[in-house]
Amino acid sequence: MNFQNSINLSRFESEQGDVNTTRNRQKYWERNLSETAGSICARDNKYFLHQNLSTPVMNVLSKAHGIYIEDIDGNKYMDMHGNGVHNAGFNNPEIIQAIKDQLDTQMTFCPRRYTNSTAVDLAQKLAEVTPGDLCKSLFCPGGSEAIEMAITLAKQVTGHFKTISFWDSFHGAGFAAASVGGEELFKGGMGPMMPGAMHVEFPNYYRNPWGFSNQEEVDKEYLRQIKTILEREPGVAAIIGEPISATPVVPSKNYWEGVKDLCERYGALVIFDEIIEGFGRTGKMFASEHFITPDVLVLGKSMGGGLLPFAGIVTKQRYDNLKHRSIGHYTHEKNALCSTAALAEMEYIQKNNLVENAAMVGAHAMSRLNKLKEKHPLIGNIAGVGLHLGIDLVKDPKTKERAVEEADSIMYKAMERGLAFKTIEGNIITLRPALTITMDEMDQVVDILDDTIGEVENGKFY
Amino acid sequence: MAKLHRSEGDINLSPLREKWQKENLDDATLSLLEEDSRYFLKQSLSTPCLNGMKTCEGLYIEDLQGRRYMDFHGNNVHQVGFANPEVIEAVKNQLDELAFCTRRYTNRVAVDLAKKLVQIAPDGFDKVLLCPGGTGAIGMALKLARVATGRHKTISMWDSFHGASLDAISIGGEAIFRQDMGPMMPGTEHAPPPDEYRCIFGCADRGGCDMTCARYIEYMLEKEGDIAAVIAEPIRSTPYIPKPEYWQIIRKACDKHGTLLIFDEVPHCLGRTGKMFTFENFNVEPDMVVIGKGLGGGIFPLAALIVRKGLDLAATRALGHYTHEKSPVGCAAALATINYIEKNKLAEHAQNVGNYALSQLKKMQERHHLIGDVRGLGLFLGIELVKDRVTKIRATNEAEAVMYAALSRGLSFKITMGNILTLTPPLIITQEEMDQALSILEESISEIEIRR
Ligand SMILES: Cc1ncc(COP(=O)(O)O)c(C=O)c1O
Ligand SMILES: Cc1ncc(COP(=O)(O)O)c(C=O)c1O
Repeated sequence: MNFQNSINLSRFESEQGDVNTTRNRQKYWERNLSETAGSICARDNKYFLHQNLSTPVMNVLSKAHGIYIEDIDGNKYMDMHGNGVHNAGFNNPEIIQAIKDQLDTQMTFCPRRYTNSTAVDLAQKLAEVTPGDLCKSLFCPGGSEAIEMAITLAKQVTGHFKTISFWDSFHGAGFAAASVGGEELFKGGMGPMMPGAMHVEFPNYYRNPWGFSNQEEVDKEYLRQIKTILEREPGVAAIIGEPISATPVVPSKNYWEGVKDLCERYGALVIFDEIIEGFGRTGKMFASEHFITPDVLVLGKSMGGGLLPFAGIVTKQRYDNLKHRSIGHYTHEKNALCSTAALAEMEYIQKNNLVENAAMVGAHAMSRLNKLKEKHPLIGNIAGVGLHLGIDLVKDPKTKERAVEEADSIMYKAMERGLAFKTIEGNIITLRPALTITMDEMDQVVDILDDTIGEVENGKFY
Repeated sequence: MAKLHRSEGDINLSPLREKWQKENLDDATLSLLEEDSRYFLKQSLSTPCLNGMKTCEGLYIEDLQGRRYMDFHGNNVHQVGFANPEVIEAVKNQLDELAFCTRRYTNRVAVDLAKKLVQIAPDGFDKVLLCPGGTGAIGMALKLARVATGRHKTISMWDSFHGASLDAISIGGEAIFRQDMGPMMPGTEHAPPPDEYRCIFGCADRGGCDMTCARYIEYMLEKEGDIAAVIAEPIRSTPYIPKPEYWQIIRKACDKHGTLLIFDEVPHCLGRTGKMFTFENFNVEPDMVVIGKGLGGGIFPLAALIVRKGLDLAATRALGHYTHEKSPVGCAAALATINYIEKNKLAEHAQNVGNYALSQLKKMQERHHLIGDVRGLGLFLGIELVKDRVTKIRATNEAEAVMYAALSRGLSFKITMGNILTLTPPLIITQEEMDQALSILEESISEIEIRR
């Protein structure tokens, strides 16, 4: 067979996360992998297809609980990333108990032609807790598929096929999800993607191309870009974005209201991807509540209780007119076990006031980080809300040049001190702990960051 | 309203369904169905649902009113039976250990599963990538084919189903998913599927299949010259079983044109057709095979892409960047499932019970003029109902009536293409249970024949 490898390797490598091909990664392995871990990693390398953000992996996990992950040698790390599934904490005992109980009822799957009361309970619960007049659900196993359902719904109800979404965003690995995503990693070398997927910049008040510092001016420019596309490219079915970007930039309410107005004017839907931001992360049950109610809300990740794959869309009554179609024809559509996990997750969040905790610990973290910013010239900007925080590291506060090597070094240093987080766009440290995190634990996190940032500032790289 | 399509399954907007529900469902069930319709988006193949289920166990699903049905459909997740105790045990044990693994790390169970999959696949398949759904795994295969070949076009089959995402409906061949969706993925070309009973190339008039359909794919490969992959189910859900020669011709043509062959075995992998992998029945090997559904033991959403040596070519990409890539619980469920299938020799069992059932169905065909054709492989069986054996006009209303008649007698199955009854019971079914199901089926067919 004749394989011609067409990948172009010269590209922006670290847009989505810390990649596994760096020199520091090599060093980390040399310093930290035990013999047991090394041998499992070797088998992982042998049997899994290699992927930029997974295999070859960093280490082997044997446990995860609360805010911690634990490697096979018993080292614990406070995990500020958790792939976004850990709002109620890893291995949450109450969720696990609910799942075990459900397993014992022998309602563990439901063929799609039938329904079951657990799935209906979940759909009802979502109608109750989601904002505004969102009331109709459809489920599937993964966030990527849920994004596709949202896009499909928008195409079907508007009769349009184009989409507007944001550069640098991630919405999943499927073709349509990767097409509306704004990252090279998922599209480069891939050939044609979904037709009609157009992109604009997400508002950024710290780094904007015009050098504006006034929020209103910035919003106006970004809205003007969207309006231009809607005018010149008629036939847009939806604008898809995370209400807050992953980095995380928190746009003004004014911005999203402006987007919504434009969508109404041009017949497009607003789709919010709250796969990460839903279920309390931002100090509200849903991030939409900071801004506007979207036409379609996309949920996932923590919806599976941190252990089962589950995702879905919630939309308005008036879009429930596709009974002759099958936009969400996924095998595990009404999986009762997954529904149990979602219900248990929400119950745990509500019972333990985790939304309020996220707001409170988040505000505390924010104020401490802002103090760190005064102390460390490496910190260019602090952004976020609730337990969705980002630290933008810069080589120079004026030029705002991204401090990529510095961020990488800080990440590996923090790792060796029991703090795990992910970097985005190379230089932005993102902090998204379990919402169960306490003030004290958050203080520990900030202390480790303080130390490691200081060391790197003083030239002590990893 | 737009035209209703019957290609994928029995749809939910029919008078017969309404009648069945009126006669069989009590107030409690009706109110659950009402709530289901209130809170879920309507879909032609799910909500509004037919009935409400209390449990799914072994061969049976049980509704809220305590009626048990042998489930000969099960969305094909139930190779080892629903709620298999050994799978449940494995899931519970894993929940006590590690319930989730972030993608930056690996875990022992995931590695064990990958190794197991490589071991049960024929020699030469050496790498695995996991994700929650079959649809996602199909997408991973398509992307890897693009990376590996530097091409983007595909050939797939009309009438096929590969999932509900844009790429999957683009290679799929069913209007119910494709209509009013705007442009599909570029470069997704289609060929007529093999179907000796209703061959579009008219082979029946020439005394039987002469592989025109396979040669047509060969022709397409040659004319385009830059097809990345041919992707198909080795057996469609109809289930028309092609002759081994069919896949052998296509395999050869793919090799000649630098095209990869991808098999979608999401619904019938792991023993259903009498072999662990369906393609093993045809003496050909694809470059990639996608499995799913029952892989997660009918409990956990899990699918896998398994590829041949030399295809581990996307180390600097993220083809399968799915949150639950290496789920320890999903992998524990899959390992328990595969072990259960091996320990109980379910593949072999499926072959035996399947052969028996097919021979019984052939006899049944002689007794009932409504039955135009019976076919199958292992426990993947189909009965084609026709109004007339010569014209082969699809007996669509009759098929639906048979379905509801059987349902009332405790047997649940799915209809495809409007008139084909598909029978895919769990592989743990005994011969006695199969006999029971077949007699329900025959009674139901008789009832409808008489009613006509
Ligand atoms: C914002 C966002 N959208 C969509 C997805 C895709 O979800 P999944 O991995 O479940 O397909 C992710 C996952 O990382 C995400 O972070
Ligand atoms: C042949 C085939 N491919 C792919 C899929 C999609 O699998 P999933 O529903 O897990 O996404 C299915 C499911 O029905 C299928 O039958």
